[in-house]
Amino acid sequence: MEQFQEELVDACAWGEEDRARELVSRFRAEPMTRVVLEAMLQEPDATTRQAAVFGLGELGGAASALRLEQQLVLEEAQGDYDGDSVVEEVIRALGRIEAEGARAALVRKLERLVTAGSKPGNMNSVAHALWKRRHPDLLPVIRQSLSQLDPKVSGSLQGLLVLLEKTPDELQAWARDPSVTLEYKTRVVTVLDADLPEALLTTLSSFISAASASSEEAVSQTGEASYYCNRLFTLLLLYKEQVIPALSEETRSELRTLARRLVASVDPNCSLGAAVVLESVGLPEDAPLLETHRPAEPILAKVFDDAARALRSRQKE
Amino acid sequence: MRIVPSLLRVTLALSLILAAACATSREQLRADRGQQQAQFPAGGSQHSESRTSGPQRAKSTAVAHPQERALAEGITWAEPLPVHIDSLPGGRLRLSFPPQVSSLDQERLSVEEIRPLLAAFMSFRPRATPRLRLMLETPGGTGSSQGTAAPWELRLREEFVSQYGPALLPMPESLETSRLYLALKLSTRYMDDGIREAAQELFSAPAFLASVSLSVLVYFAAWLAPEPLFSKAFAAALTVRLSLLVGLVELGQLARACLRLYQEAEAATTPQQLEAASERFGKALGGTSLRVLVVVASLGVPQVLPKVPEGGLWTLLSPMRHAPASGLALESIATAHVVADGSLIIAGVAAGTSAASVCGELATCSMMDDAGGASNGGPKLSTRYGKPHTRQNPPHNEAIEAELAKREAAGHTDLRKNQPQQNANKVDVYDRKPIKGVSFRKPDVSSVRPDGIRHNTNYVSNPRDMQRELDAFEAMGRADPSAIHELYLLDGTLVRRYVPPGVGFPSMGR
Repeated sequence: MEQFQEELVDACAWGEEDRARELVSRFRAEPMTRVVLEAMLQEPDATTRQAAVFGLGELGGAASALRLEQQLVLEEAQGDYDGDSVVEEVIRALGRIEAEGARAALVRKLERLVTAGSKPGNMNSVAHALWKRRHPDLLPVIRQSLSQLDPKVSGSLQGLLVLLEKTPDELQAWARDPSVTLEYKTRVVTVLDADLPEALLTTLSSFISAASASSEEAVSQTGEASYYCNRLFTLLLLYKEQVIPALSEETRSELRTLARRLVASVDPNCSLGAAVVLESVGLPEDAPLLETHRPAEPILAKVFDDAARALRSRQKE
Repeated sequence: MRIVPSLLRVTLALSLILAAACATSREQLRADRGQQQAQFPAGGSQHSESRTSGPQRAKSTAVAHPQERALAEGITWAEPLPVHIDSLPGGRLRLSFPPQVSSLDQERLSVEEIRPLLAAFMSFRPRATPRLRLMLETPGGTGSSQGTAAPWELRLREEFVSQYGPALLPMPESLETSRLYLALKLSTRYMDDGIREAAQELFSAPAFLASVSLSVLVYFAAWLAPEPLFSKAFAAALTVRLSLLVGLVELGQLARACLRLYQEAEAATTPQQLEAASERFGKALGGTSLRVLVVVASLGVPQVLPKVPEGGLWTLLSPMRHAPASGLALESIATAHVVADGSLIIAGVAAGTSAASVCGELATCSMMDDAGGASNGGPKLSTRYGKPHTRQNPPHNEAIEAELAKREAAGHTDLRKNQPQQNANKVDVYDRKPIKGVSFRKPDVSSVRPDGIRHNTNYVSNPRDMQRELDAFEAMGRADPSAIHELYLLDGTLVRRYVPPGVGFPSMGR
């Protein structure tokens, strides 16, 4: 079990969640696994506690949810950087636990944040976790919380409310609506990073259209338009395997046009995202465009080079 | 079984008495030598027959050249100090090096000595119209360069990497137009009289200069870690061999001088800063280190330089303290690990190989038996780092906490420790080209500067993880190119820094 513990801490410290997940899965049947993980929660080293939280989140079940909520309160009470890091991990783990207790624990966490008028960072994490544990019962809680919060710190909670309130068709119309601010749409897109259900794949065409409509601004200045495009690209790339094959020919073509335009964006986040998206939806003739707008910085330049190379090799195929 | 002869035991005792901190610059080295030269072997005399029985203290007189002064005062030299070898469990050996003062002869390098080598490099890539162009408009660059590598350079790179393993520092698109290449070229004018002419000849050969640049990026970069580990057999054997010849501390000093040049060249934003970096490097480089540089650079390209046999290269260092080990003993070495106490632990020495043969028949090595320590449970590992592959590591934690406190005092907000990477809007960001499925990273320290720029910093928690740290650094850059990203060693040495275009660094308040 010592090796299990060390490997789990290592994998979690490096963000290697697939490795950590596989490890927990391998040891799931061992009766000592839960005992070891719960003992790790009491270690002074925060990375060990984070790994334990991840492990319990993977084991799941009501027992894990209960223990994690206890840990959440303990870590909040610490009020230091290490405690904050474990709080963040607990919120994420609760978002992965299907048992009823997990959602309830997240709601209680949200209520504490509202009372404390907390910073957006935590609010975003809770909103993402609640989206994973979405249920109509959450609507009154979210509405109540938003009514008490300063809009500046409500972060993704506003996006979560939109997602909970609207059907896929309504969401599609909402995303196309030019009277809805890009900032608002960005909050919705950001919540979808946590989970993109199949039922919402069709709505992406509307979000892509909204980006196309603001692409001129996104190319020339760093601001709300470029940030929206950047976050949309992030979402599309996080779920690339599901999204790209599901796009209609028309939407795919629109996305390619958008990416071609935005590789020239002055916002490096936006242009980098565009380059990677273009690698997926582009054509061999897009390679020179990538080379033209290749940044000087080597890390970013490599992304453009790889994309151009991939497009060219597609031509050979 | 103890096999240390009594003479060596006496010498060992002397080595303990005479142990002195090694100098960090040539000037300091000379100052030290002024005090120690009567006690340590110097010049090519260590293998000569004129050894005498004991040291004599030099009188303090102001003679211009130390060697002339020594001769004038009839100083003679003691036996060279031995490298101590301990056998460790698992067939490993620990080599402990006494302080080394290099030979005065080695402080010079003549054009005649390097002529065959120079001809070989020139035949591969002759001098041409300089392509050097100073492009310093991007501050804090990471190996920035202009243009693409020429075919000859690509061939050189392939050979080098195949010999030494992958580069630990970012490889510029073209070495020939890189800052490091330019800084190296400029450095010769600041070198000492005894080596300048030869250096200028060598450094005028593009293929040689490219090989030296590769040496820095591929081999010497290992010294970015406080305890460099060489896991590629060729690099491991070379490290052992060079350490036996010139001393481990001295080899490390050269590596650090090279890395400093690299870092300063990368950070330079004006031609004056680049020139200053070259000057520091040129002045720090002595004849011995230049010889080592030549050997390391040339060994990386054996196919390119078939006309210069390896033995020919090693003659550049052959009059040094210890003869090179016999090929068979060294070829089997799998890893070499420089540990914080100044010793070198080698693994993979072929079964049945005597430890003494590692040093070579002319070397002065002393063997320690179990009573000499380090026999119970293997070598004492450095306590600077915690458990391998974890961050249960007090110095690492202290570095993070200290940085957080500093940033808080400077007015940074959203201070985060070891949490998933976020942007300046406090929203999670993801690597758009994830490596091995790792889509997000956890910076050790993250905050938002008063001017709204996110600033992420990682510390190398375990030198064995350098590649993973570099991967994480680049992943953070891809996830959020609008943020500042840094990678440091725990001793504060900057490994990499990314500063977005148009962002000032450091900002006001830091």
